[in-house]
Amino acid sequence: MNSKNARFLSRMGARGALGQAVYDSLKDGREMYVVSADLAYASGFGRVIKEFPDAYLNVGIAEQNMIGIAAGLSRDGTPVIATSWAMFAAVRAADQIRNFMGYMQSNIKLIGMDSGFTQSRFGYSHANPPDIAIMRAIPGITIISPCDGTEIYKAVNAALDINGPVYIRLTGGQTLPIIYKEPDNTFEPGKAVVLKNGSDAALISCGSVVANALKAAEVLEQNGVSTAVINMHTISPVDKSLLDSLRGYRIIATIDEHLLHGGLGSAVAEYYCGQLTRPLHIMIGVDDSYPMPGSVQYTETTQGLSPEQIASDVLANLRR
Amino acid sequence: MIKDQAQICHEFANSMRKKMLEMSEISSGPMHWGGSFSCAEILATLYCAVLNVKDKGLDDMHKDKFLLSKGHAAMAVYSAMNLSGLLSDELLETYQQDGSIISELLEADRSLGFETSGGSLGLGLSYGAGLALAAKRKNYPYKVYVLVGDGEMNEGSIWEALMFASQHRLDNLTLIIDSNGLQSDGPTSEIVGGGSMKDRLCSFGWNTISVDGHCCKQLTEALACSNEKGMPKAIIANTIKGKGVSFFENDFTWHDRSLKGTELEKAGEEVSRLVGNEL
Repeated sequence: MNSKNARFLSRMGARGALGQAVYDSLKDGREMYVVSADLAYASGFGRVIKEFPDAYLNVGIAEQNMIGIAAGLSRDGTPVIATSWAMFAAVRAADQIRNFMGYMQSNIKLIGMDSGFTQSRFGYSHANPPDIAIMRAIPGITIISPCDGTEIYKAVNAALDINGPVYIRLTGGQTLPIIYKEPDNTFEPGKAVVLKNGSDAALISCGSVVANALKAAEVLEQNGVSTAVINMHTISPVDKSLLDSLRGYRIIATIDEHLLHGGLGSAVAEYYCGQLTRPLHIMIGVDDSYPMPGSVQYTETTQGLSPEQIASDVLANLRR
Repeated sequence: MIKDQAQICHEFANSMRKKMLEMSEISSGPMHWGGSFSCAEILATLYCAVLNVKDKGLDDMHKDKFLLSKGHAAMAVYSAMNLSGLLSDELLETYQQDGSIISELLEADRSLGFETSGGSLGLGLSYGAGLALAAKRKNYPYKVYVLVGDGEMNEGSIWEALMFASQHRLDNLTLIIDSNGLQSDGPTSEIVGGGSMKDRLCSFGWNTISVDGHCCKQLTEALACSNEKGMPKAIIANTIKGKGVSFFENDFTWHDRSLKGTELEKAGEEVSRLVGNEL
């Protein structure tokens, strides 16, 4: 993987990067099933359909059935990639997920596509699903939210290497910001990445909104606040040793393109809860509401998630 | 006189009923009598005459897959497995005890032969269809049998799986509906189950057979006949909820309930007469 690949994967968008990762993995001879609830082309599986018909399956617009079918297909241990829009992959099929992925630990890699605000212009039916909250409330599922094209590519491969259930939350639209410009870093589930060092404040985020955290850190530095940026790409299990290293910080901010309830911020807050030494923690995200329809940028602004708003929020809390 | 297989299945079913009544003596709460007694002949036929799971030499991909989607009938499965030598007396004695996997609703434990969790209704047929498709794609010889309740047919996910199975020509999949006509709040026909289930299943592309669900001969024939090529098979087993104990029968309050006072004794006497020896 080099910077040329990074630009390529970024231009493909989140779902294009997913499709590329799955296609390359099949080309490399990995045995798996690739299942979708009638969104195979949207998942970037066009070449999979043509070249790997025995691996591919469209279950129709039936997300609940998809999870059961995927569990059956994985009975002999074969990994199953299963895709739908995040709202329906995670929310509609939650009971099936709890039974087949949670309790029974079926080897399913469920991909929730266009999570967060990606489809905000379509309105609330598709936008801002409580997918992190639901997946966190089902014991035994690894939850990964990659931040750019190369990380999506690596996350899909890492998920296939895990023998057990994984939920991958895809955010970001058709063109992704490039977070890893020299993308030769290793991706290890459960091990957060420090994207930028700093000693006063730490911004902790995941998914495509990590780009906003990086820009917010620049604003904070201009205001004299030494700011670290953490890509907590794995929400479950959260990286506890990284959180331990932040105990002495003046402030941390979790930045969720998700409801505050049950998101990354909740996972961080739950870890620090009851500990004597802990930083001041502010949680930025959607506060118990349905954002109005609009562009991603519009929605970020209404929820206080633009880089400038994140920086202002941190500065205001530092002055408390 | 040499007993025929149907006779063996009948005796097995009544032995299951006797075993379930014995289990009530160690239970800590209500038990699902109605739906467990209604499917006794179905399970007896499966375990005595159909499933190859007693052959310990078979590997996992050769062993038939039985899925109890109506997990509320777990005790019927425990009793059938115990009488088949697949579940030890020691484990059975932990039924409903704190911390035991032998719980009131069936929980998946492949090491014990419980293929999937039941109880969250409407989940089993999807899993069964996935198992059947995997067998088709990889030439696994196992066959898949899914037992659901007729009340369970209310669940929409069942119909997603029905459409899927006929679309993919899963003739290694059999759905058995324990059609006892009652669900938690009353008669299935008066809730959302009106109309012909057979017509509906046929229209969904299933080879559908209707049998007396307490007649092991009819059940054996329906289960044993090979599926029409390219078609999944549905068996509507017409049963009586609570079959075998007069005061259980056709009374939905016995869906789940504890035996009180002399009820165990009375039920035991009735089942003993069926089994032909004293409880």
